[in-house]
Amino acid sequence: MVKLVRHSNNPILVPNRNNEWEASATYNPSVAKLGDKYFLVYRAFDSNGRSTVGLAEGSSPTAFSNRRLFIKPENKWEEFGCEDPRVVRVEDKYFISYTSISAWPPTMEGIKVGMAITTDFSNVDEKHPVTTFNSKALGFFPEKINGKYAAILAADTDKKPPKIALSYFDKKEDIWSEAYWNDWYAHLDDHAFNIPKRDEDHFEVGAAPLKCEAGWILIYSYIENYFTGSQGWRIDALLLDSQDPAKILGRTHEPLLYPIEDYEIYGNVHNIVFPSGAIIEEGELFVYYGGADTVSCVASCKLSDLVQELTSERAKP
Amino acid sequence: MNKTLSKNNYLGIFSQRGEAHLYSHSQKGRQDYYFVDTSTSGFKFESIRKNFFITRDDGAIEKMANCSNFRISPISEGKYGIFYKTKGPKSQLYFATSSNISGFLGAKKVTDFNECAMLIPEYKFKDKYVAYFGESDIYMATSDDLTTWEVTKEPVVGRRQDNFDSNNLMVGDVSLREDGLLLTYFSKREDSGKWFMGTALFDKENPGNLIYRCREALWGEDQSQVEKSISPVGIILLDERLIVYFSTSEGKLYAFSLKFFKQSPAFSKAFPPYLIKKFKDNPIIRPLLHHFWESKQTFNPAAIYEGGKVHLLYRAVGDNDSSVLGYAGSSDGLNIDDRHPDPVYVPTEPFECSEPGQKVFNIPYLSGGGGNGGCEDPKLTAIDDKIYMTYVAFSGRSYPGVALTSIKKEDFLAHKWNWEKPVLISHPNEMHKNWLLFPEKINGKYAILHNLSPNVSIEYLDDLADLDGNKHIKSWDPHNYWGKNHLRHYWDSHVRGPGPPPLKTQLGWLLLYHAMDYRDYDRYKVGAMILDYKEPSNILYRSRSPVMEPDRHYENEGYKAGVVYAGGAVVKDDDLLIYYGGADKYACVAKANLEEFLDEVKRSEVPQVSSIKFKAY
Repeated sequence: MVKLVRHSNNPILVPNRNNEWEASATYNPSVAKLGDKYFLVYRAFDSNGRSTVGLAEGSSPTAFSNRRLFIKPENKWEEFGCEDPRVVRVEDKYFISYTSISAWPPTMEGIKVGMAITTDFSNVDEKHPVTTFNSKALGFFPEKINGKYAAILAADTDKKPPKIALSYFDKKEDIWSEAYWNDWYAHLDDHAFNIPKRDEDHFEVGAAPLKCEAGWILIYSYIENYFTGSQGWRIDALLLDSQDPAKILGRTHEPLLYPIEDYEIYGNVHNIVFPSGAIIEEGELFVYYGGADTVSCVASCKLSDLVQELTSERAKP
Repeated sequence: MNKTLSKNNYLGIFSQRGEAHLYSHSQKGRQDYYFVDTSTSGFKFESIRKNFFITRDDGAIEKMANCSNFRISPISEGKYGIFYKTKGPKSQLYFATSSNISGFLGAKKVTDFNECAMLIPEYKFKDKYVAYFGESDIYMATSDDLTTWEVTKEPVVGRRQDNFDSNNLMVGDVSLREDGLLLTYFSKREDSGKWFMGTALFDKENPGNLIYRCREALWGEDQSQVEKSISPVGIILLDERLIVYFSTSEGKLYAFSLKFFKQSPAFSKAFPPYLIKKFKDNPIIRPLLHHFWESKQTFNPAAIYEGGKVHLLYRAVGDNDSSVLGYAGSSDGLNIDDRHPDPVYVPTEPFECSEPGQKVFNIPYLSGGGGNGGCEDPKLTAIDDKIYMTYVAFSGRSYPGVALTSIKKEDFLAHKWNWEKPVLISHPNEMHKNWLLFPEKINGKYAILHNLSPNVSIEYLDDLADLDGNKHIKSWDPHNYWGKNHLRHYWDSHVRGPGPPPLKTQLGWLLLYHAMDYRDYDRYKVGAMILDYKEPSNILYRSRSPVMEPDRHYENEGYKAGVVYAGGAVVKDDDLLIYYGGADKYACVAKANLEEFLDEVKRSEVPQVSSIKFKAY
C-alpha cells in the first residue's frame, strides 16, 4: 500500500498573529512552479472568520517564505471572502480557482467559484466570477482534453446530495460565461462524476488533476461517516482516463494519509487533513494539504509507486 | 463652612481627535459646579477646565446632581450628541445636541427606549443614525432625525449564561474602527456585586451584525487594585488603546488602559496549538515495574539546564506508596539518555517521614498518590554555585508543607547526591505547596514566591541560611481559602498554584501556573503570566486561555485523569522547554519557540490601574 510521507518541515505555514488577514489560519495550500521558483497560494483566515488568499514562494517544494496577501475581495460576487485557491498552469498563464463568498453569514447561493489569472505572480491580471450556482472546489485540468479546456468541480455542495461533475469549454471565455454555466447546471446530471462510496461517506475534489503517462491523477478528499458524525478525513487518489476523465481506471482503497500528527489533530477544527494541491517534481508526487483547518502541510510519495498501485488489480473501482 | 470642593460626581467621558473630555459635577456649599476637563494622555487632566451646561427643551437648566451616564458622540463636524439619564425612581433618558462640547441645548425625553445609550460617533447606516442602548440586554436603535427611533426586536448583544456577562449589561462605549464597530459594555454580577467589562465587534456595513464577542471578560473589578467599591464612568478609545474610567464612592477617579487585540485569546478559542508542541515521544519518563521505588508513578519533574544538559528530578511512587525523587538527564532536552536506577533524594526528616504501620492522617488532601507521604513535586533553582530545591514534604501525619534543601552544583553534575539537611520553611500544621525560589536575587535579596492567589506573595530574605527550620515563612493558608467565593468567569477562576520557578525573559519573569475552570472543573491546566522584573508581585500579562490542556492519552489515563502539571521549565537555544506531569503518572515535555510564545502571552495584558491626576485649583 502506498502512503504519503510527511515532510519534516511540517507544518510548512502557520498563522502569523501579527498579520490580521492571516492571524487565525493559513491552510489548504496549492503550489505551481514558475522557472525554478515554487509559488504557494493558501487560504488565509483572519480573526473575524473572513478568508483571503495568501501567496508565498520558495526555491524548494517544501519551504516557503515571503508571505503576502494576493487575492482579496474586490467585487460584489466575492465580497465576503476568497477561499481555498487551486493554482494550475494553463498554457502561459496561471489559473487560480477559488471559492467566492457573496453573502454573510454565508448562504448556499452565496458560495460559488471564482477565478483569478496571473502571468508571473506579481499581481492578478484578471478576475472572473465563474459558476452561477452553489458550487466550490474547482480543479482545472492543466492541458486540453480532445481540444477542450476541462475542469472538475463540486456542484450543489451545500445541498443534499452534493455532486462532483466535469465541465468542458470550447473556448476560454466559456469558463466565466453565465450562459454556459446556466446551461451546464440545467443538465447537471449529465456531467456527474461518480466515485463509488458508502452512503454515509462523502468525497470532495482535492488538488487539480495531474497529468501522467497512465492518465490523470486526482488527489481527493474522502470523508468517512461524513453525514453521520465521527468524520474520518482521508486523502485518497484516483486514476482517470486521459481522454475521458469521467472514466475511473483505478482508486486507492486505503488512505494515502489520515490525521496522525498533532498539527492535523489540534487546531481550529480537530482531526482534518484536506488535500488542496499537488505537483510532480523529478518523479516525486508532492501533496499539499491543510491540517486541522489551521496550518499548511506537505507529504510525498514516488509517483511510480502510486501509479503502480492505481493500475494494479486491487485498484479497480 | 467647608470651603473645599465636595466630592466629585463623574458623569461621563468621550474622546475626539486625540483628546479626552471628562464631565463632572461638584458642589461647594450650595453652589454646583459643572466642569469639562480635557487631556491628551487620558490620565492627566491639567488643562484649563471649562464649565458646561445642559438645558431641557422647556429652557430649564439640568441639575447635574440628578444626572448620570453621559454618553457623548461627535455626530459631524461641529455637532455633538449626548444621551444621559436622570436618577431616581422615574429615571429618564434624554438626548440633546450641541455645536460645542460645553453647552447642550434643548434636551428631550427619549420616548422609544429608556436605557443608557450611545450614538455611534460620526457614523450613519443607510442614511440613518445608529445607537446602541441597554441596561439588561443591548439593542440597536436607528433614526432619521435623532428624535424618533426604531428599535431592534432582538438584542444585538444579550446576556450569556455561565459567563461573566450573565447579568445586566450596560453600554459603555462605541467606537468606529477600521475593522468594525467596537462596542464595550459593562456588566455587574449579582452574585459578587462586581463589575466586569466585555467587548463586541459589529460589522461596519451592518451595525446589527455581530461579528465577534469576547469569550471572557477583558477586565473585572477583582483586578481593580482599589479597595473600595467602584462604579464605571465611561470608556474611550485613545491612540488605539481603550481607556476605562471608574470612580469610587469617595469620589476618586481611576483608569486603566488596554490595547485591543482582535487576535486576543479573549476572542479566540485557545492558545494556538502550533505554538506549544507536545513532544511526539511523550511520555519521556514512565514508571519502571522492576524498580520498587518507581513502579507506580514517575511524574511532576523539576528541570535545570546546566553543563549543556537538561537534568530532571521527578517524583516517584513505588510499591510502598511513598514519594521519593528520581533522576533523568537529557542532552537534547527531549530524549532521556541517562536515568538513575536508584532514588537520588529520599525522606530523612520527621516532617516528611511516615512511620511503619502508621495510620494515615485523615485530611482532605489530594496529593496525587503516595498516601504514605514523602518528598513530592520538586522545584529546582540554580544560584551561583548551588542548586536549591523546594519540595512538598508530607509525613502523612500532618498537613503537607514546603521544605528547602540545596546541593553544590559540582556535586549535582557529578551525581554525588550530597544534599544539605532539609528544613521546613512553611508553618507546621498548615498546608502549603509549590513554593518557588527565584533564580536571581531581586533588589539584593533572595525571593521566594509562596502564593499566587488572591495575590502574588513573595518573601524576601537576606540569607537563605536564615531558614534554619525554626523560621517559617508566613503565607496564606490555602486550606482556609479553597472553596470560598471564587469568581467564576475565567478559564483560571480557581488558581491552584505556580509551576516551575520563574524564568527571566525580555518581558519580565515568565511564570507558568496551574488552574481550573469551574465550567470544566475536572481538568487541570497550565497558564502563563509575566511578572514585573523588579516588582514581581505585579502581574503584567496573564494568559486569557490555557497554554496547555490535558488532551493526550498520557494526560488522561493514569493515576488521575485530566492533569497537566508543569514542574520545570528551561530556555535552551531559542526554545522554551516545559517539563510536566501527565495524569499524575508520567513525565512529559513540550516545546515552544520562546519569542513566539512571549508574543502570544503579550496579547493578554493585565491593565495597570492608576488614579487620575487633575490640575490643582
